[in-house]
Amino acid sequence: MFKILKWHIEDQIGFLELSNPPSNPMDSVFFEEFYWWRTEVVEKADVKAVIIYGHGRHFSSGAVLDDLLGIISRSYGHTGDIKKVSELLNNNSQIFYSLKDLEIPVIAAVRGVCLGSAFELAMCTDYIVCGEKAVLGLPETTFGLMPGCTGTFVLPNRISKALAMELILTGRTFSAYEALEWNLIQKIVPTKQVLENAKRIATKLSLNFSKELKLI
Amino acid sequence: MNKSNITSWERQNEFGILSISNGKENYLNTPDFLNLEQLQKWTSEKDLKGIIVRGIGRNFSAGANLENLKELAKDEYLLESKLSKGKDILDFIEDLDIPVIAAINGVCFGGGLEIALACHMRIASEKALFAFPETNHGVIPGLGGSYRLTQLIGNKAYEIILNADMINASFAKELGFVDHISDVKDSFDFALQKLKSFTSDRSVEVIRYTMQAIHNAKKLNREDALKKETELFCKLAANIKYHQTEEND
Repeated sequence: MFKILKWHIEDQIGFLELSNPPSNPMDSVFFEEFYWWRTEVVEKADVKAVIIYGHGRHFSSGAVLDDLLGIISRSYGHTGDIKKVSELLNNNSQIFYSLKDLEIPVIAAVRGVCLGSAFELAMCTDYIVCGEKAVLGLPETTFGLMPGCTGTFVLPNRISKALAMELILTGRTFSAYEALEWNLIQKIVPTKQVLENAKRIATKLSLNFSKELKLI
Repeated sequence: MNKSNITSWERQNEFGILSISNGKENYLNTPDFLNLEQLQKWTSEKDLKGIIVRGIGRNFSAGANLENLKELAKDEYLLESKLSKGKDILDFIEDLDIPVIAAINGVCFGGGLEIALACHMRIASEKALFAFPETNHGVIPGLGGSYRLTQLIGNKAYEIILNADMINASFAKELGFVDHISDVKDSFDFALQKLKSFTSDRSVEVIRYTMQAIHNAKKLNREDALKKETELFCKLAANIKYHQTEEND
């Protein structure tokens, strides 16, 4: 159906795989497909929960910088108005955050790296289960940017402002164990059991799920 | 070095150091412990990347001096206007779009703690002590301290304020209103290290836009906060693209 996103349903659980090996970066094709998946596919599907995960060893290394900068500079060149450019790009944030509007639980199953926009996507889900060696973080400020896809909104609402400031400004990566201590993720399991655990969690959460249970 | 009331300001490279200095305890003789216009001037320097607030000597600040407070309270109108000035100073500090870290040695009581709570991060030395002693004297924190503490640690704030107990650094960290305990004796050195790790190799724009976005997360509704975030992101991205094009030429 899509080039980068693979969608299949098994036992009424929808599986959305980010498949752009080896690190499943989020290029502009990803963002287009994700938009379509969210607006046209998932709500019509007969599923009681969704699991988002990455193909292979990693969840995703995040947005492709050149793609983003290209879109921004083309659009800026075309309109000459940074506000118009930003309206276009804001769709990505809105569509990530709109996972909160789904009536079913969404689970992020994270193995390997989950950085930048990928971590922002994971934070928009309702439950993050990580493999032991998962590497998380918002490194945007280390290359002259800032998180631009819900991160600066969601993070300070989940953890203290001080810690959010520290994680975003240093741009440092952190382990699943640190993230669990800060309540940023919900569970750590051996890497090989991440998907299997996510299925179990999806089944359990879907039993009595109500939209009001969604996190910030 | 510049002075305003009981505070002084000095630059250490790209950082501003705001020091409270009033005797051994750094008592706040009045709620408006500095002149806001002066602070606005100091912090408007364009290359500024962060601020440390500290007390000179062994203590951060023991807060209001009870005798002074009694004197002030004789004129209700005067006290109210002084408190309102004090609140404006702390609101201004909290809203700054560069990181502000409180480096806390020794005692940090009452108004002193309220100043620390208005900063974006609190770093305490191992021997730092915290308290809101106000209710012991029949008053309550008057500079937004109850609000800020509740925002930070929720319901546990009632107990701290109503019991007026003294709290050590490690318990304060456990409760969540101290962010780090300094691994060196003087929390100022630790705060300086932290500030460097937040700002080295970061442009002033990256720092300011990031801080603005983080502030928005608590101030704006979801839709507006996300819109603003994308806008700030795009401005930074347009900058990068511009520099890359320049390099290629």
